[in-house]
Amino acid sequence: MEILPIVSIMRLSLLTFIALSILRIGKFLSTSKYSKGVRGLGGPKQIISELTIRGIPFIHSRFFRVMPAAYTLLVMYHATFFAILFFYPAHVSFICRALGLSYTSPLQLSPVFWDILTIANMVCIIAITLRGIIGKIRKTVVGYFKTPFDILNYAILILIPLTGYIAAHNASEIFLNIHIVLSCIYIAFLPYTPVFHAILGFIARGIKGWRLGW
Amino acid sequence: MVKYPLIPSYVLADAETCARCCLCTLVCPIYEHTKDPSKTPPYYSKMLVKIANTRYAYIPRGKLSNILKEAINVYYCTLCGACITMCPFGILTPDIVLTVRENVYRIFRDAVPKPIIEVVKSLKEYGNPYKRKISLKSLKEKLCHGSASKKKSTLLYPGCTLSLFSWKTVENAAKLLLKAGISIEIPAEVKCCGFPALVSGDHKLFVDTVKENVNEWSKYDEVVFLCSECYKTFLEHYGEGESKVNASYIVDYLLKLIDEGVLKPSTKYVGEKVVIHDPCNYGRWLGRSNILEELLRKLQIPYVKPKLHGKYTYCCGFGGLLAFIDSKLALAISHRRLESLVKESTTIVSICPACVLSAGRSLKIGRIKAKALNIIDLAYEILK
Repeated sequence: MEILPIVSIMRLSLLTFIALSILRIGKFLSTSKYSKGVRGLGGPKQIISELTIRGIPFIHSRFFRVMPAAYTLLVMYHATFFAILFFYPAHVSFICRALGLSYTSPLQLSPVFWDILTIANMVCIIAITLRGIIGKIRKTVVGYFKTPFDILNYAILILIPLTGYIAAHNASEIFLNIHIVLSCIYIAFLPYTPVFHAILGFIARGIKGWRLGW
Repeated sequence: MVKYPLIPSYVLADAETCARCCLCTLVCPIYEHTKDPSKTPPYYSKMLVKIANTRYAYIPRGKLSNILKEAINVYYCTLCGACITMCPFGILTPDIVLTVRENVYRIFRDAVPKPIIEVVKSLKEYGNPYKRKISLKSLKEKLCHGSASKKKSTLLYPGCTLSLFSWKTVENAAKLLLKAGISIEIPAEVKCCGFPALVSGDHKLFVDTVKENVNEWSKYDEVVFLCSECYKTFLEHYGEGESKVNASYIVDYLLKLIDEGVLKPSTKYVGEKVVIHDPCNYGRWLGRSNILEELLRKLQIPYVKPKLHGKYTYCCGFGGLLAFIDSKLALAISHRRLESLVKESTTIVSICPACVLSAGRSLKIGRIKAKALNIIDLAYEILK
């Protein structure tokens, strides 16, 4: 028996996510219509050209040559994050339950594999945060831990995989519920967190294409 | 009257997309020299978001004064666009910088640095940013004599930098076109293309300049630009005006004339191989660094490419009015570029008058035994 109505919480958080996303993206549409006229950038053509030039979007050998350690951490974090979020069988079945779909993960792999991915994800996010705290540029530009929101953001980003890892190895449902509740909170307010850049990146290119020509 | 920030949607979307990963700072020439985090692309994105929020939220007085204090930083960008090549999202930081400058000029005029105000004043008074009248009357009389009454088909537009600092290059270009049998016209008084007004943030002045230029240029069958920055401004910022004018760039024009057999090399190039410097406007923005190489090949001039060329070229330090704000910093950036170019050859060739000017100054001050040439001068020596 479930302690919390987790499916309802997840549905509520997804609805909040959609509403807040519309609010945040809608802001761009209410700004000026004129363009500075830079042509040939943005839109599907840009995305396709990125695919052909870079092979995998956002991966460029130049990044690696310039800062190998930090770049490896960033790529590892993103790769593990998306792999766990969208392919971990328990996540897939839960997301499908929340959306009312019946689907199973194509990656029915050993639990050890998922453990390694989760640990790598946690190590990467901790290292990225430390880089932000220690690094002069990022400290000034990003202003790490200047407001309570920053602390909350990174605490949740670290706690989500941590509680998930413990929940997978613990019979008690407390950690599982904490994991789900924290994830739901983060998903709901995602449009106003730094993680939203993942979605904004594509939207920004779409708007560029719309305004400057495809 | 309350002035709200005027921000194009795609620019704000770009600014908000910035994940502050700071990869761009690794290639930013300004950060490389100043090591100041407040003079970096992510910081400019942050500033634009702050300015945008003045429309949507109440900004306390203290925070507003912070925006004013930070405004000076945005004038340190050379708009070279090196950051775009490193950004995982392809964020157009130069557009963000132009938008911040425009809004600072419109809303927080007190925060605009004095040199920028003087540039705008000079643009209004003399039609160029150099605080003096630029006249090519004598050159016009010398080269366009006897054909004053005829309908002129081609206007040679040299731009203010070339006309003021290297009018000999204008003469060489004009002579080449005359040799090719083209009826040309040179403006007696050179007016700005509008780029300094755009970069200063005075959008109204820019729009007025565009209207004036389009009215003048549309009288001719075609306009040949001698300055790559002016040509880039025309292509990227003139909007509807672009369709009213038949424009081309001198290097493309020369290539066409060589291909058609109208111009032929008369002498052989004698000298060491040259090193090419791709300007950001042609190499990166328009993605056409190949035309310089093509012309050099056709003129049978041996050349080498430096490590950073084409899309990944390094700034000459002259862009974005940086030379007006901090000439020492502009010179330091130029010097850094020259160090890498001189390693390859002591003859530097570029298609951008501003790059040639910046390199020439830097070579003189640094007492480096090398020379910076405009490709037009080199082409003239071989095709004359």
